[in-house]
Amino acid sequence: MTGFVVSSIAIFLVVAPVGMQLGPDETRGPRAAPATFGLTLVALLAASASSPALLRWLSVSGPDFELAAAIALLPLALRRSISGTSTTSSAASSGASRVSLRLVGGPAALVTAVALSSRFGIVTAMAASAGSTLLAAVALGKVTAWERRHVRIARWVARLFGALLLGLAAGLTHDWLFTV
Amino acid sequence: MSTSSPRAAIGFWIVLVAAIRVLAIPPEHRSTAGALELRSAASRAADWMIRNQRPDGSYLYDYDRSSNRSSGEYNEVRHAGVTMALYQAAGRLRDPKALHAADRALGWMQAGLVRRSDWAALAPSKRSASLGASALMLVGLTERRLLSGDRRYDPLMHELARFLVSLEADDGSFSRGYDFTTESIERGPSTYYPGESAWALALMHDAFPGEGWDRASTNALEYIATRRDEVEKEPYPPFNDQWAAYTIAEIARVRPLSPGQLAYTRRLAARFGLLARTEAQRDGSAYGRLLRGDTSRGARAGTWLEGLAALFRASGFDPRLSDLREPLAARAISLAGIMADRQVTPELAKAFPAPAVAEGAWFDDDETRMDDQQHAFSGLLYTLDVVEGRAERAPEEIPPP
Repeated sequence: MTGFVVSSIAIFLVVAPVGMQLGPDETRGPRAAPATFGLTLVALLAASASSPALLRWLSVSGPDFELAAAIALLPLALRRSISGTSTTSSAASSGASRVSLRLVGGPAALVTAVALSSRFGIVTAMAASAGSTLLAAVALGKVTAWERRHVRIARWVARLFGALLLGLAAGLTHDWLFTV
Repeated sequence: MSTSSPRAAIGFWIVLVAAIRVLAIPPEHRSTAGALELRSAASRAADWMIRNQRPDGSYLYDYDRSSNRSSGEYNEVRHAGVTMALYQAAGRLRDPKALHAADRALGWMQAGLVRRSDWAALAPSKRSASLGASALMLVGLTERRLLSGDRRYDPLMHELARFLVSLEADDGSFSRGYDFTTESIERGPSTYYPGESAWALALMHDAFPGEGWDRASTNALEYIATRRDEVEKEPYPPFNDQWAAYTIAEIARVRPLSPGQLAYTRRLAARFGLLARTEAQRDGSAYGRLLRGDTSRGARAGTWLEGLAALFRASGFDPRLSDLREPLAARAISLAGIMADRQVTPELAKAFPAPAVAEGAWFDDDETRMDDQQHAFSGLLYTLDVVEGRAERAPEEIPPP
């Protein structure tokens, strides 16, 4: 698999809205504004582009940062794997909720983008971030109603995404151990 | 983690990111040492080996600054290794004092040779000969031949090479030595000897092409690459074998690596990279010790540096390894800088009970051993090639004394 494909899958797994509608306030309707994914996209592009400077500033090599990304992914991966829900809720319309929703592009996604940029190159990571975030935004519009009608199936899909995220974390840890 | 409160979520992430920074990815030491500093550090290490040689050609084996004493132990494998390093210093640093000292140490080894039929082995005890001692003696002689063009030791080189080959099995593995008290081969594996022997035989092929030594060295490398770790039950393969890395670089110069050797090269490069990155996170503080353990002694970190530099050289010969070139260079230069920073400088040495034994050395707690300087020296020397873009390891010829 090319770096672009790997990066696209990894970014999509992190920002995909799977399980987002299944949180404690799932009875309410989604309020995910397009601006949310717009901000996510900008954040991911910035993270990808700033990867070399950030690693220099942190005095950390690329493979070591992949370990950091693997650890940062664990809460998201475990939450989805165990409960079948996302770490974010899109339900409420308050300003605070919008902050919460933006965690779709929060630390886990940002460190993943930095790690992928370090491994596969800035252009590859930026292209993958753009494609995957747009795909996730489209998916949010499509799957919301379906998720609310098929809650049990949706939870298992979210669990599958959680398992894949655990696989991604394992892959990043593997890279830390087996990369120069 | 609750997501109902953005504050809780943000607090969680702040704590997690801080914990990752503190516990998983502490900052790596970044040295500002450049080519000049690396060359100076290598020269100081070579000077240590010259200065601490005894009149009989042996070296000061070790030194404990807390007791201001040496243990009195000695080891012929390390003697051969230090002598090899001095020949490297003579050739690459164009240091006649190093050549003179190395030749004196060669005299010590010649007095310890035992001959049987068509081979000779380094066995100062006259009771048993370890494979590694003869292998490193042979490497030293190939270095001497390269730098001086002097052919007087060609017959001895062939005798030593025949000893190595006599201990090599068909599958490329080696027995560990020869027991003169029972006139029998000492069976059993050893950690470093196969790599040392494979490299020595590869250098024999370079010195005497057409004599078939490359078959023995390639066979040995294939065994190391594909079976050694399994046979020796290495708990965390691949074993970080810098001698195998030298062999890879030497073989890659003249022929394509086999698929097994290529895959092993990648695994070995990654292992040296991981070790170098981890070493860069060791700062000697209590926090650093708790997190990553003590800083490594010169002989350990020096071998990682040798391995990185050798594999960097191999990546220049085999285009299939070209993607490793940049990261290998980055790790080698980083670790070389760390090594240079940790060396006892002339100023620091004045605070030691024996400044002449301290200057140019690397201390592990209170102790330094001659191979600390040997491995660190070779690692620094060949990292200079990385910095200066020198493809070949061989020295320019200088006149024999």
